[in-house]
Amino acid sequence: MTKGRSLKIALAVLWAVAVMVLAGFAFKLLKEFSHPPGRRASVQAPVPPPDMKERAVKLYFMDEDAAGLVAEKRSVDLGAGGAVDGAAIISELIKGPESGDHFASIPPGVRLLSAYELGDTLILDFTRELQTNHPGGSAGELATVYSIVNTVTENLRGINKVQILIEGEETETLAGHIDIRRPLSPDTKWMTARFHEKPED
Amino acid sequence: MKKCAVACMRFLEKSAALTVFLAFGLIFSPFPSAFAEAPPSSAFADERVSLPEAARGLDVTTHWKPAEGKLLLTRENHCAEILIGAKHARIDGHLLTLATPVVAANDAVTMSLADATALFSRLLGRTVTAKEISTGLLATPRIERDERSRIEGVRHVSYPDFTRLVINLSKSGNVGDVKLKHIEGAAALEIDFPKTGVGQAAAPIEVGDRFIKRIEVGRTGSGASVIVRTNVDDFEYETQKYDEPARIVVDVKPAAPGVLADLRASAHLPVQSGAWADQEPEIARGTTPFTTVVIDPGHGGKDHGAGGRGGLLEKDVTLSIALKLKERLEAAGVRVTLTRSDDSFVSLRGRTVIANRAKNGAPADLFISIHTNSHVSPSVGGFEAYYVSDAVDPGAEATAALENAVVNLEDTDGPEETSVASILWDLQYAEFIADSSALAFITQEELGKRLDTRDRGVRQARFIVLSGVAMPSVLVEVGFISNRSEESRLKTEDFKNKCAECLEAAVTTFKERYEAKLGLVNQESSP
Repeated sequence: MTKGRSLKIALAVLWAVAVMVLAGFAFKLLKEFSHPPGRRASVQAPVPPPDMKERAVKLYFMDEDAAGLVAEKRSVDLGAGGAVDGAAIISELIKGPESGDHFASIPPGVRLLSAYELGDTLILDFTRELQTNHPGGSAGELATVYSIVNTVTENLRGINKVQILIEGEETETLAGHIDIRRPLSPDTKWMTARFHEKPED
Repeated sequence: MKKCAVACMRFLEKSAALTVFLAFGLIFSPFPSAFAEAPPSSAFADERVSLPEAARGLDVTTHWKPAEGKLLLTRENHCAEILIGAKHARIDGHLLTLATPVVAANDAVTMSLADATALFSRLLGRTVTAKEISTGLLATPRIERDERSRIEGVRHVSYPDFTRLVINLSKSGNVGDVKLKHIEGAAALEIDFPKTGVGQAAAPIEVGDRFIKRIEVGRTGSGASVIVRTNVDDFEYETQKYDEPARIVVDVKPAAPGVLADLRASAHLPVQSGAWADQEPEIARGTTPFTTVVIDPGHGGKDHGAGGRGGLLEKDVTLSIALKLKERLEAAGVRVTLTRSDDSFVSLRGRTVIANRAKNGAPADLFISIHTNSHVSPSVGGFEAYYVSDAVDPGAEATAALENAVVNLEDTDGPEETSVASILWDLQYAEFIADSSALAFITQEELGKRLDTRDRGVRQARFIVLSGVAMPSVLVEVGFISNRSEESRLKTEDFKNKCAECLEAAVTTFKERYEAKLGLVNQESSP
């Protein structure tokens, strides 16, 4: 008796489970149909990471004579697109030069907050330290501004101008001299004559 | 029996567990979604639309915030916030995920048509079809949209007897027939640009001077209009168009019957359809004697400028040299205005305003900005002279001052020469750059004669203070305060006196050359 009864119970349980499972399956299918496709798919299988490759970039630092900018070659992982690549290059620039003959063009304590593209302009938003920690002087200010502008425009295809922002705001100058209210094109005119041609490293 | 039953039960339990496991596996496997996935919806997904244009077609207002990389679309109380490069938009605080990121390229912010459809449907609270958006776009043909000019900004200058508006356009071509109209029954002037866009949506400009209350820039069906709200019902206006940079200048003044007003009105040509002035009359330059120099001691007050390792501050050195130079120049009969005469903070704009009004309300003849340099390396030293980069446009201050100078000419020259008033201030500015270059070389040479520090040469850069003054200008870095030995020199009266002496000599030489040129001009122009 117990045998037959427990078998019946077992079967009932099995059926119940099977029905629940099937119902769940059907519900799931229904849900899939009613939901717009693709969106979930994109969540489950994200866009494969872009083709990131280590590339050689030229970074411009202050020379030992405050007469112009000098280049150093570095390897940076690039390929994610303008703004992300620009941010990677600037982070490398912030680290400062490797050569003992060159000087950092970005004052200590500066961080890049964000970077985005607007047409052929790369907008770089820095922390306030770019102003407050700047030692001043026209020579130093020119080196800071154009180490950023010349480095970015030379290494990023399609970027011809750079707009520097301080904590999201457009700013008149970094240290009271050079006009950075509008996007800047690369410039070597302010350097002494020997730098006028594209400097070689 | 019992054993058999237990075995049977175990088997059933296991198979049940297996079934459940399999079923759950199916549910959570990526299979079903692969089943349900539809192919990407044809070209519809690839097509991109310009957001501001789609917005215009749907009567949605666009606000552009370039500093934040944001575009705001508003309709009644609803607002969509679009971030360039982001894959989501925010509508009334709710996130809307987009299939493709918003892209800004070639002056246009675009998103996919599919995303735009979803966005505008949410914003307008009704179903907006893709067709509706496309049709809206077709209303303004693409070629015309790309080539047409935009209103970039409106400036105004208040004068004693009229107010001048300068409407800057992005380019000269395809502006169409600009029409001016006195709005009947209202104290307002409407300037209609039938084929012009508006660069940036802006709040009305509150003028509040004697003649004009407010300027409103807005879009019309296919163009733009500038509405000028005046203080008086009865007013007169004069217009001229200029090229490079493309702009329209409108002078508004109260109607005043009189011979002079009539003469003036007839001297100004009204806007002809699409006709741009080929050449503006050249200003009679160099007809006023050289009398006034503005000396600008760099930094001051809360702005210390660069600092020396021994504690010397740039602002103190520059003020001291400036005061010495002032004394010398005044002794030589030159009028001097200082942008600051004590340790106070003056903004860069404030300095240019002082310089541009120093000569009886008009720009001075010369501007010298005194600074000390700085470098991380303590061994760097020497002096250098800078002049403004020719890559910069004159700042708003300089342009306003130049326009003001024109008015002064107008006032003194008499009615028959009023057309001289409309000078090409850009040409004028180019001349200032040439003079500034000469001034920088003269200054560097004079410094080289008396200082025993290193001659670092003349350089050119975008100095904000130099681009804002409407006169030849130079910025001198007399030495490196970051250099120990130069810092101790900069502390001595002897060195500062020498600097002042050099600068005085530079001003004198420049003045002599200027007067020689003036003499030549006068000889040529005399009958």
